[in-house]
Amino acid sequence: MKIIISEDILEYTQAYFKEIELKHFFSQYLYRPEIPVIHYKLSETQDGIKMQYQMQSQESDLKIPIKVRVGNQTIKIIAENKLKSLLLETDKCSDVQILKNLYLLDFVIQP
Amino acid sequence: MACQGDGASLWWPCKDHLSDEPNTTVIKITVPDTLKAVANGRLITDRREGKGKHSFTWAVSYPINSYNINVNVGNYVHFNDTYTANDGAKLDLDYYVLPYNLEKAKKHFRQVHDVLGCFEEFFGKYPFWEDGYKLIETSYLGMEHQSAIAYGNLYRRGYLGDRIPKDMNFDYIILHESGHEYFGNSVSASDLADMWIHESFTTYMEALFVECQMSYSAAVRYLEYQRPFIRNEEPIIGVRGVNWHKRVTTSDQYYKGSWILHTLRSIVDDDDRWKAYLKKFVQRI
Ligand SMILES: [Zn+2]
Repeated sequence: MKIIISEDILEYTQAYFKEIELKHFFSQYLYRPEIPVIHYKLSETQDGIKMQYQMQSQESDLKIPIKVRVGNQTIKIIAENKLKSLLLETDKCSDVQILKNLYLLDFVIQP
Repeated sequence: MACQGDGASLWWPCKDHLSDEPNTTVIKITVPDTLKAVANGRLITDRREGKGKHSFTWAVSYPINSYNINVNVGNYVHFNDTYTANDGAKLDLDYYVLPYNLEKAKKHFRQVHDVLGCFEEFFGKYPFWEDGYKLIETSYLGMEHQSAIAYGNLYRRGYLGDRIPKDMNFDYIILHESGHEYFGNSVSASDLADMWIHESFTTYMEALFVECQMSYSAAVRYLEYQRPFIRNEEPIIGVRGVNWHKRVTTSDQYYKGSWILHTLRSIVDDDDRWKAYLKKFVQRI
């Protein structure tokens, strides 16, 4: 039996997953009302599908790895508060699927 | 009767703060002899008190949140069962229901075995072993009263027959309130501002139960049912020391918190480590 405060959980969790920086994650999700938004755009190029993405969050240093399925492979992108770009080895936008149901994030696709 | 949030001082004099729990509790109730009184812990005496009256004395052998201390008075019938843990230890399951629901309850409450089994797998044995596990029928939906869960879901699946995917068949109140025996009653918040500790973890446990019974992908489908309830209107940690209460309209301490844990698991991306983290958290924090 233990009586605790939230910070006990945060300390325990950070100590357990030492290699993952969780300070900004907890600040964003526990101490602020908003959740991050991922803006992304897929466009066809001669070399494959170009994926541009940017996170918009109140915690400016927050980074979240997000799984993306490309054909029958799964890759991870690291979303953060700056515009990033990636060339995916496929020629169809419909082959690219962000695994949105694994994350508490809002996703906005840019036209 | 349930007093979570408002506090136990509504109905009995006590030091009414989550940061302080009595180590042991004795509850004595005298009622007309046509009725039974059921409270937390073990029934230690049951006797006539003069003409037409009967007293029931219950003893709780663990620390307990004051809001969890509870009495239920009714024309109850009692039946019991036993849960066997992985190590062979036996847990008493006692059920108090209204007479016309007895047969329904005997069938419906069998799912308690599934719930306790899955929670044991994820978090270890039921934490209040010596006091046993009880479900007591109530006129309200439910409450996690320690070792004496209030049950009012009308023997239906989901939440009053709804709010879960069609291929799932569990009783939300049995599942959710039993989860609170771990998060809420065993691991407890010290201030109302930290109540997400109770509700978020317990709401996430519902998905873990689905994972245990069905699959991870079914658990994600269950979580998708929770997602529309997230409002993002205020931080889920409140202000300490002011008897803080969340806005009535938001249930982010439940669903958002559950999704925060789901998101964290996706970031960790290692199921074995995630499960070990949860178990160690309950057992050692
Ligand atoms: Zn609850």
